[in-house]
Amino acid sequence: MIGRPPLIRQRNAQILLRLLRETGPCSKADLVRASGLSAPSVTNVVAHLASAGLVEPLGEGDSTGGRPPDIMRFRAERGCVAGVEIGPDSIHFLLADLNGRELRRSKTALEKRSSTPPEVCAQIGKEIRELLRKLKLPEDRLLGVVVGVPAIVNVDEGIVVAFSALKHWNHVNLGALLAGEFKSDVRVENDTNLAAQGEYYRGAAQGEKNFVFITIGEGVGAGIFVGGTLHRGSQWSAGEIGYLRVPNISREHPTIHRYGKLEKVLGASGILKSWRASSHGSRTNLKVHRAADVFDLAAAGNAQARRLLEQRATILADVVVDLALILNPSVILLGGEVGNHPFLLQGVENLLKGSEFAVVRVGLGALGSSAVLWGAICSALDPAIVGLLQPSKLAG
Amino acid sequence: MTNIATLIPVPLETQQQRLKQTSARKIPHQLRDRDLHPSELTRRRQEFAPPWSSAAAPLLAGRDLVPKKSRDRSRAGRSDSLRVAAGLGHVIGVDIGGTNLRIALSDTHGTVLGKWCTSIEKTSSPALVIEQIREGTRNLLEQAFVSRRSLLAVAAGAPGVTDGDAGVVVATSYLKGWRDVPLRSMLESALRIPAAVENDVRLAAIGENWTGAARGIRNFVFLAIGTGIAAGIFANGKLIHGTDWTAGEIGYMHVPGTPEQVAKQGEPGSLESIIGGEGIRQQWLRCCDSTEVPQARDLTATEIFERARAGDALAETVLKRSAQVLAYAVYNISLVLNCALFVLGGGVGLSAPLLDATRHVLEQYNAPARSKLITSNLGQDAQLIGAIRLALNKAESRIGLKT
Repeated sequence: MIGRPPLIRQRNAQILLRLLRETGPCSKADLVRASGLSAPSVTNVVAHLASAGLVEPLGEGDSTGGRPPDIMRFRAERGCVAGVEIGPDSIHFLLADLNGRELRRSKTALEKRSSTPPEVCAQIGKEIRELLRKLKLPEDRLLGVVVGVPAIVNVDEGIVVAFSALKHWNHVNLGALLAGEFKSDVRVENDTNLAAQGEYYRGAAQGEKNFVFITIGEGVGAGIFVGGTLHRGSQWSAGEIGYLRVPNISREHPTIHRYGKLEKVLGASGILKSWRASSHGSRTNLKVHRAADVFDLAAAGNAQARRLLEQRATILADVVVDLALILNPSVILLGGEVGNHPFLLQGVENLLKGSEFAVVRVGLGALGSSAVLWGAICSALDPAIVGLLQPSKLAG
Repeated sequence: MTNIATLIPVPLETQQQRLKQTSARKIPHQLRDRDLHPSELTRRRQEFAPPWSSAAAPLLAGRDLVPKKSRDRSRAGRSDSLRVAAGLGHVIGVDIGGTNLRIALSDTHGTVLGKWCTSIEKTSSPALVIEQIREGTRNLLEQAFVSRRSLLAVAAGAPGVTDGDAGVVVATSYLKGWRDVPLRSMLESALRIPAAVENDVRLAAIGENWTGAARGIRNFVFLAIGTGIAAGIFANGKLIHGTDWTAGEIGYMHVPGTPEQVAKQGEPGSLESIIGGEGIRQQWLRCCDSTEVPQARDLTATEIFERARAGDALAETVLKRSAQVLAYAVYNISLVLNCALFVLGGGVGLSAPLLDATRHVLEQYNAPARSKLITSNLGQDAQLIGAIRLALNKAESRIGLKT
């Protein structure tokens, strides 16, 4: 890289910021030592960062013999980022500062049938502005927005490629619509990919460079990390395991294996349907509203529920094995309304134990239903900070 | 006068590790306890420096000849800087198979100057294989009138789980006694040049990505179907190795019974046991047993599939079942990876009837994105070509041309 001063300064600024963000407040001497930059360079860059509002002197630290050190801190409050998750019937919001510290959350209802993309985007814009108002933050503090949708997304252009639940959203350029709502950078991403990102950032997959996050709720999908980065595939649809063909053993013809989509068998609706079919006619006053209730019953000892869970666990274990053979990840995490049930995990673990070769470690996601939002925050942070370091911004 | 405190002789692999980490070099024991004049020291350093630095010297000197724009290197393999410097070095590619050992000598352009092959069926221990590699290399150098000093690097593929970082063949079911074999350091000791090792299917994927059907494609899978079944996977332009270097060992993938058939006949099993070479022969034998009409029993998979194409009903059932199972595997993998392309190779994988039948089954499936399915046009050479490419990569990274 030929050294035009602003570019070098930008690169050095990124180095120092990363150090401050990762290790907390540092003295200038610490920064010089850890960054390998010269003292004058550090002084120079710190001055620029201070004028951009990104660092601030905390005061003098304790002297260990010489001049007391000037402690610097990263000003996480310089800006905030927003994570948004478009769910089946509600939209979830999370605002965080530049350290990723949560500032505020909220949720609004989503009228699936009557909502057009522009209406939903307007709703998102309105809610985020409302959150900023409540936090008493001016709008120019918002430095980035990332929106997770349950769809295949062309992330380069922000186009929703295929949205199974809302077919009229296919080919919508959500990125462009959202860009109209915000001055800051807005990106659209597949929600399961964001959940994997979230678990990598601050969940159960921290430090795991090769892992898979399987979400099982209404839909079934996987977010795949290879070498520490998200794997999207050639058409952004890596991990669409909901389409896997699995044998759907019918009760009437046990010798014939019909195939169905994994999603239909393992997804929440499929489980509820199976439960109702199997308990139809039998005297029961068991309250089952959600798929997870069926698993609760299984855990409590209900024989029918147990059988159902066994079947699902078997199918899921096969999927886990396939993923392990293809990708050789260090761990496979389960999440989602159905996936994060501990009894399902237990069922899968028991089946894997009986395998003839060492399979992979399985576990539950640690972030629960917030995984997508945290993944969105994580995705928004680095670009937001880098954006502040643009030479034009620093010159001021 | 400089006092040289020196050390025990450092083995080649540690030398290489140190070189990687620091710029300081260990001074060989010949200099122990002697005060040396700085210029003498310099001369000695050059004399005892690792062998490959002298081979690299012409290339380093030639760096100024390299046009500035070609210093902007793209990923794996398409570099112009070495093209300019072509003729200044050579590499060796090695393909260690279950029964045969194949070696190729190539220039830095990728032009193969000679190939050498020998059977290792009886002589398959690591030490003996290394010995044969040494001999084969000597042979090829002689025949091509290439000086040993111009060798820049060697890369070898092994038919099993290989740790590329440590340079160790962890385990293979094809070569007896090969467990935790430090192949890379053995190659470096034997040939005195930097070495790289990789598993054979991934080498084939590298070869396809460089000069074969997957040229320029960032997401694809090379599926080798022969005695065993394994996949070499490229994702975002890079090979997937996995945490324990076992990514792609899909032979163990569980295949449920065939749809629309009584469960007994379409027995479940592992992918390899059904469409590996032996699995297909077993399917055929079961078919032969099920009919009164006498059949030729001892057929290879390729022959069985050709019969099916020619209209033999019995062979057709074997082809149909194999295609269904292969389609199942391809479909699953493509949903996980979203790869644009599958390249089939290996004795069974290269069969045209199997390709057609599998494509036919895949067309009936619903998928968010479709993968193309083709057979390799590199045939037997995919691994060897991949080895050459890996050796060139190694050579480039050693002399610092890589950015």
